[in-house]
This record gives sequence, structure tokens and C-alpha cells, in this order.
Amino acid sequence: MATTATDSVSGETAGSEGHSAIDPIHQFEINPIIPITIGDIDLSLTNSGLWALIAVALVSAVMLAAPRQLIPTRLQSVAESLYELVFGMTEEVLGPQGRAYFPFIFTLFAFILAANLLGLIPGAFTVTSHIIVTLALALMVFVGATIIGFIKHGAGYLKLFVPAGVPAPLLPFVVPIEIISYFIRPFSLSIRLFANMMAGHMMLKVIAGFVIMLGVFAGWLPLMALVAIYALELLVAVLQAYVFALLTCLYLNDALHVDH
Amino acid sequence: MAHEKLKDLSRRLEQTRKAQLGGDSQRREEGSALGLATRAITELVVGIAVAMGIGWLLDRWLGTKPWLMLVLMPFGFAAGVVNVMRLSQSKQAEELMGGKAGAEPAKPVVDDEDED
Repeated sequence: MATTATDSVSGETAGSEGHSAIDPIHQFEINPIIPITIGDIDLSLTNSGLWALIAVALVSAVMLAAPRQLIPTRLQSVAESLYELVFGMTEEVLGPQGRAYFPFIFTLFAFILAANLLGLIPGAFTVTSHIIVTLALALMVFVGATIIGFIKHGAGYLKLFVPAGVPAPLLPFVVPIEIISYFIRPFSLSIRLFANMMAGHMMLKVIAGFVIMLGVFAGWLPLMALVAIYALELLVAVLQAYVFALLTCLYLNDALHVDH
Repeated sequence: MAHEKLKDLSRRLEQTRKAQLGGDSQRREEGSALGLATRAITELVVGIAVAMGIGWLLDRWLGTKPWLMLVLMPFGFAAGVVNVMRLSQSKQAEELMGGKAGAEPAKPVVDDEDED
């Protein structure tokens, strides 16, 4: 029984490790759906690109289609509570100055949230499980915040690397540490999101493999675990989108108020 | 007249909201604790990795393999630790670990990192 299940699941894997029911990596494979090449550049619409577009469409639909009534419908409540969550966060971290950045932060949050949640649909592709996607988002934040910092403060922005009140003999140690901790930002931002999404989805796949391997008799045990982990992954999906937006706010806060 | 009605509505909404927030504040706290934990772990790991990466690139550029990478590694570790220390002084962490449980429904996890 176990072998037939194994054979049917491992399907097209041509790995040298033989066949196993558990192939947690396969779900991250990128496949072109509509091949497009311009010159030497491969611009194909891939499954990743498709799901990114679906995420954009979903967010747009929720935000635009929500009616604007005094007593909100369910859809309007979703749109309003998302808006209020991010607006409250922006106001609290950045102050009134932060309103200019609210559209950017909200877009970022909504896109990541939609991509994370859509990825949990069985068979869907998780856009944010690829480091290149999250790194691109994080670099956008990092480069943007750095540019804003230099525009607002000029060379004074470099004061960020020299904390006030540090005795001069310690500066050769403190300044490199501060510089490194600044350059860590885009990587910790992107790796946290990508690793959470990837690890979660691999775990789901592995345990789903157990369900099939153990079959009707013992399979319900991992199935229960699967349900619990799925719930956890829902939490992680929302949480990581929130953490990404929150850290974007904190980094922008540094760019706006260096000297405090 | 319609104004009065609105005020009444917002008052009742506020009540309901408070009642419901009290109910799931624990779950919310667990959620933000998980958020803090993932932040702390990535800061530590990524700190070392980024510092060694910078060192490796500088080494390749200056031809001083492997010295800058080795010198920068402890700095990366220190940067990670500094970031985690700052994280632990943030408002969010204090709310979670200060033990003010029950005094007021946990605020939606908005924090403000103290960067001095």
C-alpha cells in the first residue's frame, strides 16, 4: 500500500535519491506559463508571476469593491480594519510626518499579506517563498529609506552610525558594528519572510506526505498535526506581513529622525 | 438627531470591541511573541552571515583572503547582539515581558524601537 502511494506521489521527480512520497521542494519550482522572450531576455509569465498578479488583483478587489457605508458589510470591514491597522502603525511609529509614506507601507503590507495567504491554498504558488522576491521588496525599502535619510539630513544621516555618548576610544569598535547592523536590515527583513514561508510550506508538505504513507489506519494522526500546523501557518502568514510592514516603518523612522 | 444615533452607535461599538479584545488578547500576545522571536533569531544569524559576506567581498577585492572575513565575523555577531538588545528594549517587548497582564487589553502590536 505504501509503495503505490509513494509511486503516485513522487511522479516526475528525477532525483538521484530515488523516489519518496515526500518531495517538499517541488512546490517551489518556477514554471513558465506563457513564454515571452524579448531579445535575449526571458520575460515569461511564470507561476510565480501569475500568483503575484492574483495577489495584486485580490488586494485591489477587496479595497476597491468594498462599499462605503456607515454600517459596514463584511467586505468593507476587512478593508477598513486592514487600513486602520496599517494607518495606526504608521502614525504611532512615524508620527504625523509618516502619512506621506502610508500608501507605500500599506501597499507593501497588503501585497505580502495577500501573497502569503494565497500561498496557503492547496496547489497555489507562494510568491514570498522565494528569496529573490522578498529581497527585492526589502531592498526597495532599504534603498528608499537610505535615500530619504540623505535627502532629509544630508551628510548628517551618517550620525546614525555614531551613537551619542560613546567614548572616543570605543568608536573604532562601535562604528563598524553600527554600520554592519545597518546593512543587516535588508537581509534580515527578506530572510525572515522567505524562511518563514518556505519552512512552513515544506513542513506542510512533509506531514502531508506522512498522511499518504500511513494510509487509512494511522494517517489520521499526521492529519491532525497537519490541521494544527495549517492554523499556525495562517498566523505566521499574517504575522510576517505585519512584521515586514512594522520594520519598514521603523527603518523609515530612522531615516526621518536621526537625531533623537 | 441622526447625530445622537451615531454617537450611541459608536459607544456601543466601542463596548463590544473592548469586550472582544479582552477575549483574544492572549492569542494576540502569543502572536506578537512569535513575531519577536523570529525577529531575534534572524538578527543573530543574519548578522554573522552579512558581516562575513561583506568581509568575503572585501577580501576578494583587496586580495587579503581570508583575513577581513575573519575579522568582521565577531563584529557581525556583535551587531546581531546589539540589534537583539535594542529589540528587547522596544515597547513591544516590554509589553510582553513586563507582566502588566490584564490591566488593559493588549494594544495591537505596534511598537517603537528605542534607537538612541
